[in-house]
Amino acid sequence: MTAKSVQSSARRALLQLSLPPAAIIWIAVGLLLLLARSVSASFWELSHLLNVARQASALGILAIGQTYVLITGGIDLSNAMVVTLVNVVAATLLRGSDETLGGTLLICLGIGLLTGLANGLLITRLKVPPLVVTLGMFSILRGAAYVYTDGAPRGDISPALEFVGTGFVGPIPTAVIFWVVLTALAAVALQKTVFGRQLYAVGGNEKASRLSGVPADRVIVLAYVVSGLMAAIAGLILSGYAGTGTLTLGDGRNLDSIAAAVVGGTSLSGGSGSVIGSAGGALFLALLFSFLRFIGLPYTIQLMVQGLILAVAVYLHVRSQRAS
Amino acid sequence: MSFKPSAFRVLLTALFISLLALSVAAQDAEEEATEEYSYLNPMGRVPELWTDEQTDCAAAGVAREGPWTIGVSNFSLGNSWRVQMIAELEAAAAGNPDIEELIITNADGNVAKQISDIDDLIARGVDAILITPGSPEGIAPSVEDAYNAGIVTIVFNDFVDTDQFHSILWADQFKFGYIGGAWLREQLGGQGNIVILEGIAGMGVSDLRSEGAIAGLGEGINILARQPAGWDYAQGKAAMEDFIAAYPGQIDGVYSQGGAMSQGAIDAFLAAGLDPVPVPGEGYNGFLKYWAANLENGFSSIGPDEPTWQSVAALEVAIDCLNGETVAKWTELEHPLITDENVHEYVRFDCPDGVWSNTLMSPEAITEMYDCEGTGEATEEASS
Repeated sequence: MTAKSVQSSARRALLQLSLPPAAIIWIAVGLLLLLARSVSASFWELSHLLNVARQASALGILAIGQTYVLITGGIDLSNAMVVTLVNVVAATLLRGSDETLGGTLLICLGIGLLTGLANGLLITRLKVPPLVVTLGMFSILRGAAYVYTDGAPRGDISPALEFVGTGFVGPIPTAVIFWVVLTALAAVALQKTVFGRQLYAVGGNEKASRLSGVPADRVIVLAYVVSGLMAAIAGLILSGYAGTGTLTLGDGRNLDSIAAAVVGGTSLSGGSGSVIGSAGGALFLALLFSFLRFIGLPYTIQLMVQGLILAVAVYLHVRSQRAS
Repeated sequence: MSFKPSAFRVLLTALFISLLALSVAAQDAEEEATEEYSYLNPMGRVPELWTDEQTDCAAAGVAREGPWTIGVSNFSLGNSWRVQMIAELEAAAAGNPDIEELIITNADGNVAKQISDIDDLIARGVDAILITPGSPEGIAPSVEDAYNAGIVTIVFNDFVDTDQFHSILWADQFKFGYIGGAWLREQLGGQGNIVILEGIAGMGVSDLRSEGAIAGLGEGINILARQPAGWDYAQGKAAMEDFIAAYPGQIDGVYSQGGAMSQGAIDAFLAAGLDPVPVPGEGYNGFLKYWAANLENGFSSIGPDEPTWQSVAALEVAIDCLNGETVAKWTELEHPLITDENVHEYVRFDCPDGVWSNTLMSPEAITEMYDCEGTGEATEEASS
């Protein structure tokens, strides 16, 4: 009871202070950590927390791109299949050795870039709704992954990439370093550059932004390109984690990336959102999944609790946005 | 003092004798229990309705002159096991001059699509149809439609809620689970804490394997947690990382339903700097590579194997039926058992992890399909 009232008064205080939405999710991360600590002290083992951060990192990188796209008022469902396609292509080209690493990285990033470019052009030139375009792209990429592998993924990931997926620099997982650096770059680009301001302008009111001279089409295309590139990087990191090619590596990650962005305070209707919030969202989701597994809840209950907590998190954001 | 057998002394002797008898009986019972739990003699769960019934295909009026068109309604190509299962079928059909055409549909994991796939195959006038049902209830009416259309109807890979077909082939998933569970029980001496990695919650194969495993594990094993991980490496590894942190030093064994999850579980232990605990697997090459390479370090496992060639077995029954022969209506496929002794016959060090090693395909065909580096000959290779 007291915890609840503390929480609700904290929430009220938050609303009165009108903290940025991104702050709410980081507070939620803190509360979840405290809750986990009270249930099991071993949750706070540094090695476990770093593991959770590593589990969050690929999702966090996907969420960066998803956030850019959501801010424009769009959505990217194809990013999950970029992950899968990059994974099977990388495994096939590398065949377990670093010899062809440079070329492989270029090709994989190229897959992400071209996917984003195609998404963006179809949306801006042909005026097809983003949901339809990226869902179609999801299907096309899946077909491509099957055609490319004949359904049977070949090859293995190379040592350098495995280091990115599973290795450590000092105590910090390599993947987390990638995530933090990319988040910082994306946050600066969003807040401090003309492109960033144009993203918000296009998402807030596309017509008005066009009238005031914002190259809206170019901005939208660029947002999808960023999302494609982030998906390719996430795909490479996850490939390093999995160590081999598999046709299921991307499964479900598109919706997870949307969930991470939305609980992090990014609006589904465009015009608002932040990369820092999405990073908190990704960490929150990874902590939540881990915590629910940790306490040994039956899987069916896990699903319900996950859904419930996500709904509450989004509700809090909607309320705080209405209040501010 | 005269020595007289007091009542007390008599009682004591009686007690001693009965204790002795009890302990002998208990020993017998223990031996019986071990016998009962032997993974070499697995408990199964063949459904009650299964009988020795035969289908006389000539009398049923479904026999036809070749060459034939064979339709296949496959539920999903979602993992390399299913892909290889279909590849085995294609390889077998390609070598048979009586098969004019093999039409394979893939329902992409969607029961509604599988129903329309089967409708299409019936409409195209195939001579025989092979079906891997995605749902026992959902697909039953379609199986009946094919049967009533006078098409040789063979079901394999899973159950279906009807007996209107010519033959069904099925590997007992309960037995699959039981073998791994009973093996783990023996490894742990009948007691200890384990975690379970399952396939997909609510899916028949997954649920039956877990049920079988729990029966095989018996009373003395405490299940700390269970988590579906989709037979997937990354999901299995992530779940195991959490379990290792949640139950530090407490996990004595892992029951994994196989696929790539067993390898994920082992890698999670290695990444945490721990020695892997006993974990059963399956004929997934990535797991077999670790197993075979670490036998000398004392790693031991068991791999009941779901045969990828069951599609070929189904095709053979279909051909017999088209030829007017009498075929068994209910066939249980045995799970071949991969053990410490024969793992080297299954592993392909020169191939990627995704290969399913228990195959009827030639080593050359596997090499081509998976782009292996060697030819399949002399695959034993020292690996650290």
